[in-house]
Amino acid sequence: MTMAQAHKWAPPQDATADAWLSALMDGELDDDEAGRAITRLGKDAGAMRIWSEYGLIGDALRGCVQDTASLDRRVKVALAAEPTVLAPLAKSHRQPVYWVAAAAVVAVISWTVVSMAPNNPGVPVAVNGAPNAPQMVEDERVRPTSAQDMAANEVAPYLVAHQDYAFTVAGAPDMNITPVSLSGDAR
Amino acid sequence: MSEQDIDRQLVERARQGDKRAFEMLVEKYQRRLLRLLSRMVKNAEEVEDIAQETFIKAYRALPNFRGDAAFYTWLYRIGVNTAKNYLAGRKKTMPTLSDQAMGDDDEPDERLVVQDLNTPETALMSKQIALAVNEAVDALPEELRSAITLREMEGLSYEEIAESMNCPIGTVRSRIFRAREAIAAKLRPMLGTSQDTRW
Amino acid sequence: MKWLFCLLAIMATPVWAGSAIPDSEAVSWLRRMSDASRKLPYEGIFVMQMGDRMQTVQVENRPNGFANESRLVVLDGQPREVRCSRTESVTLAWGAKGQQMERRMGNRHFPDLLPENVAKLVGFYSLRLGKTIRVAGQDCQLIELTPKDRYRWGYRLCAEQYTGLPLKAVMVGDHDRPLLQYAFVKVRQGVTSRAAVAMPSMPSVEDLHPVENSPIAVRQLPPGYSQLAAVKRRLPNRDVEVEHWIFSDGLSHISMFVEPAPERMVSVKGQSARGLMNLLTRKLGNYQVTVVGDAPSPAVNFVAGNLDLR
Repeated sequence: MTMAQAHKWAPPQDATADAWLSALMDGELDDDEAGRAITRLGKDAGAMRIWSEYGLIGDALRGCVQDTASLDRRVKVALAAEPTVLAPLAKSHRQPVYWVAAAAVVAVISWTVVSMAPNNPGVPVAVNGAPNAPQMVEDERVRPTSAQDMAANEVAPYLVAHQDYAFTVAGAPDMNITPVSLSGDAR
Repeated sequence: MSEQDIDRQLVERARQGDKRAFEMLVEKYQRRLLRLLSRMVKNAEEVEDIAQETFIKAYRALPNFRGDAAFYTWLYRIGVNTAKNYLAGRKKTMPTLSDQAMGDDDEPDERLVVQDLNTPETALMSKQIALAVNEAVDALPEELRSAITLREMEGLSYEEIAESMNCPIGTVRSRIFRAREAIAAKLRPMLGTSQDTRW
Repeated sequence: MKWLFCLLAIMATPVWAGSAIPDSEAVSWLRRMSDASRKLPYEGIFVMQMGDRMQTVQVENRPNGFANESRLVVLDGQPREVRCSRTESVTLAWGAKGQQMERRMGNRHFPDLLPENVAKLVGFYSLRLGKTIRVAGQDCQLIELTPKDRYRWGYRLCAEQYTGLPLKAVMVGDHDRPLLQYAFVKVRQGVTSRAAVAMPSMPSVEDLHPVENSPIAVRQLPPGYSQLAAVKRRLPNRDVEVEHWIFSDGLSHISMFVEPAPERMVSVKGQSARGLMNLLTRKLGNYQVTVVGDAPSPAVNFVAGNLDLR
């Protein structure tokens, strides 16, 4: 399948082994990276030691040094004995928003569906449904119409759901979608 | 803002059952909490008891933490209330000492007999560590020193530091990391002397 | 005295106007814009244009503590109103069947389009302060966000010069082609004349659950994108329950839907007329994965191509 080539994740500018921990401590990783970092930190005793060293440095600079050996031990023991807390998932503070208006606008989007034919990717196979749509192009190289069965109203719910998070300026409870033929090939 | 970001992320993980994430919060705030409580209660052993109880209470109360206040503010409030309850309880059971004044119930009674478990040895160690950290910071090249100072003492975000130092955010991240490593390198021999002592 | 006026004129124009500027300066503007759109009371009328389609909307925003409430009234076509509170929005429509109400998850709208963490955008967009332009009779600072890679669209934002409120926003595609635009035609800042936004009470149907134990794992996301949410939900007008994942870089958004694959499943790829939205479906094990976003096709393809079966 001619999917996009896997794009190598670009490492952050300073890719040294422990810089992530420093950034995590300062709250400068985004939620996704932070999640991974926290998981990693939880599994790595060496990293936890560094976490506590960095914390000590910060507190020392602010004039706060205390002997925490005993407290640390006691809290860990007490915590282990506690039943695990499970709270309901918090909604993110900022809801996602999309630029695209919703359902009613989708109705007039004219979709050009490009076949993923093995021999000739990128050949437009079928476009219809919208007013003034070009005629279907017959192309023997393209796999026949099994996917054209997939009508626009199959695609529409995904579009609407995607825009559900969007700001629904034009939103209407009822959808009015014109069918679009789709074709492509299965991998 | 960045301070609250990491706390929010750790709190959320803890609320989802990740106790290790809560331990990271404990590690982060235990010194500050101890210092706060020491101002209210003079006996070091009791301060530690109250601190432990505070953390456990906070852990249990996580489902109720709405996240619209800072975690440490919420934690400190729990700490202060726990300390107050402790002191109020003590007043009732504490035997009256001849030199102890009665009355003024709001103030923590500073004339109780104290047994300071923070031995002279550990108190000295604390001072030495604080000194070592400050010396290490002074010894840093200027751009590392500025970065770590702005972050830890002024509480600026990377973005604000980048603005202030007129460099890219990636450079700020790198400088702060290198500063921390340089300081930690000097501290590690001191910290490693006693397996038992965790600062 | 002439030289003094010249000097003053030079000083008045930012030294870097029209060219790339320190990220921090543009980030400050973005932050002001982000804050203003939420914290400033305002009311006005804006136009949204996408291709041939235009829509006129009346909007009012009422900050309320640390959240805000807003109301939008669609002025063309079928009467429709959207009321937004801190956690959700409700769409009310009046049609042949009388009044209909629908709750949506999203509650943000123009001009509140910037993410909370604006500083993060610096990594993936080149920021540039442009000239001053007039929108709705007010002077605005133009800020351009040019994508650093092919995984996102660009944006041109115009912020009112004193408050930072975005008065115009254009999403641009290849060759600077506008894909979608919003612009105030009339706006009054600092006041709202109407009473508080009354949220209609709707039965609280908890029909969204967080995704647990998904059969699909995301191996990688395009640079700058992170996961915002993953919920189990029903698709509109369909009976099937799907997983709906949402990824974003703060400005562009991509959805991924996971559900059991039908017997005869074929992969398809689609694009909206101007290329604003892209879609791709594929089969992964026994599942159908549909990726759709208002992002260029490389981003949609990237998401679809970096999934693993657990």
